[in-house]
Amino acid sequence: MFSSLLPIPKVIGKQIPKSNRTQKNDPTKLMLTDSSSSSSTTIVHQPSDSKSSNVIKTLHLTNGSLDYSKTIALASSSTRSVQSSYEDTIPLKVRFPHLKHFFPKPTKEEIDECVADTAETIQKILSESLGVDKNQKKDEVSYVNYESKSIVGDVGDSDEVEGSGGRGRVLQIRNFQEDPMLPPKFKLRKNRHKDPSPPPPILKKNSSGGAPLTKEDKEKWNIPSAISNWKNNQGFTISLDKRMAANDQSQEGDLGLNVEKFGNLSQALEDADKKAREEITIRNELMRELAIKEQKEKEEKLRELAEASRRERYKRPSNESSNQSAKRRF
Amino acid sequence: MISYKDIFDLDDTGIIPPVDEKSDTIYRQSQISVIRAEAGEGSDAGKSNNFNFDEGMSEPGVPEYNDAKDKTQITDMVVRKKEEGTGATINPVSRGNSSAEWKLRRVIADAHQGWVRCIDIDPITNKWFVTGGSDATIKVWDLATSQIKATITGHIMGVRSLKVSSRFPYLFSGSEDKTVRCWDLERTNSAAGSQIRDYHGHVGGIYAMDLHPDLDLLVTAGRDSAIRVWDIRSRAQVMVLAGHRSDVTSIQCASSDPQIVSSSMDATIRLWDLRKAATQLTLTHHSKSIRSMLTHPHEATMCSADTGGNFKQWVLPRGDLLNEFNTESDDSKIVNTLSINPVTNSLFAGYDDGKMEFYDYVTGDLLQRTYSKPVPGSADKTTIYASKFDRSGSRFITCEGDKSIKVWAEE
Repeated sequence: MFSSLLPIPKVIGKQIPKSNRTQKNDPTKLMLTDSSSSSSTTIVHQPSDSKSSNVIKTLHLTNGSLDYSKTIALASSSTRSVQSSYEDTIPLKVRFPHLKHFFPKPTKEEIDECVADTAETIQKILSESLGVDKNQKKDEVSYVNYESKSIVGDVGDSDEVEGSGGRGRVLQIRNFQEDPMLPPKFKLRKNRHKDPSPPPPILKKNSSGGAPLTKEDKEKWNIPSAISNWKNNQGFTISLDKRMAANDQSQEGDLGLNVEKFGNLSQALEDADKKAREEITIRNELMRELAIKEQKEKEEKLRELAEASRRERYKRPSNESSNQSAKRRF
Repeated sequence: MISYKDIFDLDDTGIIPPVDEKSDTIYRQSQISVIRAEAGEGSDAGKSNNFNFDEGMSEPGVPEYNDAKDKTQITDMVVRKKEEGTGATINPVSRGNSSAEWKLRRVIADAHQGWVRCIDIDPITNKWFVTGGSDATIKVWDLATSQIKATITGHIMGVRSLKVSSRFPYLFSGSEDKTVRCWDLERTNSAAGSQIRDYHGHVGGIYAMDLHPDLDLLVTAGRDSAIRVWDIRSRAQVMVLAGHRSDVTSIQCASSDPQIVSSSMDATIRLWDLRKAATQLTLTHHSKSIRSMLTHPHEATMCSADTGGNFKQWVLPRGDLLNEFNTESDDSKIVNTLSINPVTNSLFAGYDDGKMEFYDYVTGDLLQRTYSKPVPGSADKTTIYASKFDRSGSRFITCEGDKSIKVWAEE
């Protein structure tokens, strides 16, 4: 609602002439809005010195209150209009119920005039920005008195330019015509790639001369894979030579084991074991044979005994014995 | 198996006539009449218009309607002539008759792969239209048959604004990727692509653009709340119009003062003085953000609608409030788009929930309220993002959030 009461946008500030900017702090040019100055007629507070000053004029209605719309309109620019009254919020069709809805577009003459005027303005802006017409502003040279505010570091300079009076300078400011056809000064480059890392060093050039690689050298450079005796989380089978190599690598200094003699020992133990087992089998065989022999002898003895007793029975009368047996049967 | 035809009651066989050269010529002739009536006196051959009048007039046996001053009279005559010629391609009863209702005639489902965000109809031949979608493509469609004619790619984010020039064969597009591009429509299908220019400088997405009717100026604005005026030929930025406090949502450019009117999400409308590069007037009557603002094609008035469902009409040179009315519905009150029918002088408002309302532009009376049905398979509500009446006022196209383009016609 109140955005139109806000200060002038900065775009407009561009158009204010330079001469006014220097006079900004003039105490006579303050905005006069106190209620005591109101009277029964419209009063314009305006200083007498310049017409195009930066002063804000205040306009009052006949009853003494501030006329906001005209004041704001005047403050921003002469062409700017402001709707600030209550009347402006009521639609025209409510205010004037018999309003005829007839709002024709502007006539062709008005449009043509407006278009021509605009085209001229635009052409001016374009020619300025593209640097087409050079006669304007080319020879404008202005001089500015500059006094350095820094205390340190200017002592030597002030000695040199004694006549100019301490740290004061007179600067000449003039336009520098830039060649519009020059290539751009700055390159906008995003995400620049870093240089790649240097190639790995080549320790021995084998292809270009030099002694060929010998077997000893190869062996010297051979680095066995690191294999632990204590960790094998994945449970791989590790060939013995690799394990030995790893052990060699790790315990090269304090290996107290004589592999050869240890081998002999184990071989001897194995042989002894084998021999003992052989002897045991032979002995077992013998014992078994003996046992079979003994059993055969026992059987022979029993058979002899049985033969002897049978023979003794036959020596007695046989019928008696047969009768007896028959009797026993019946 | 349900097809779209079953759901939407699509019956456009009677509307789209077979290709008839005679009716085509008459139709073109009608366009010329309307254009002439707009331009003023009509039969002034020495005018500096770029429209190709000779094409239509050189047809043998086609009478000219350049003596009529009144526009409605012209259109009536054209319609009558058309009926005699081919048999009612446009319903003459609907002209100025408020009881005629707009009905859905055709759905281009999956027209884009995202929301369809903007539309513009060719202002000269009225034979094709362009739409831009969130899928970063621009598509050219035939207005009569709804067949796709070309797909223009190049943007890398959603296309938010489109404008077809009436003085050059150029199409201008603004996108969320902060670029404004100019496409040569005569090279749409070339392998090298049709982009011929781009306008660099915006620091936010471009939501609105318009072309100056007489000068080679392009006016764009959007997310960065600054309006930039470009010289079309040299691609130079002529001026920046600063003053809005939030996203600029629509821009209208005219030949007479105020030459630029802009509406913004900060609930203000600003009228700009192009010659001074300054705000001429700020209208702060709206209390909610304005998503759509439109100047009338024939009158010196404009209409704006905010997200609270308030419509306001203004008289243009001085920005006086002419009329205001509200939507009287309890649904969504967020007006996304406005369109003015240049023939029947009715105002369309498309809402965020798919509600469509047609108002009488003069009185502000509600003529029709309807809802746009979403295409099956999409969400239960569709959003109307953009809309446009064609130049004859007989077709109406909406661009919606269900990725479809819908063509409406009067009963």
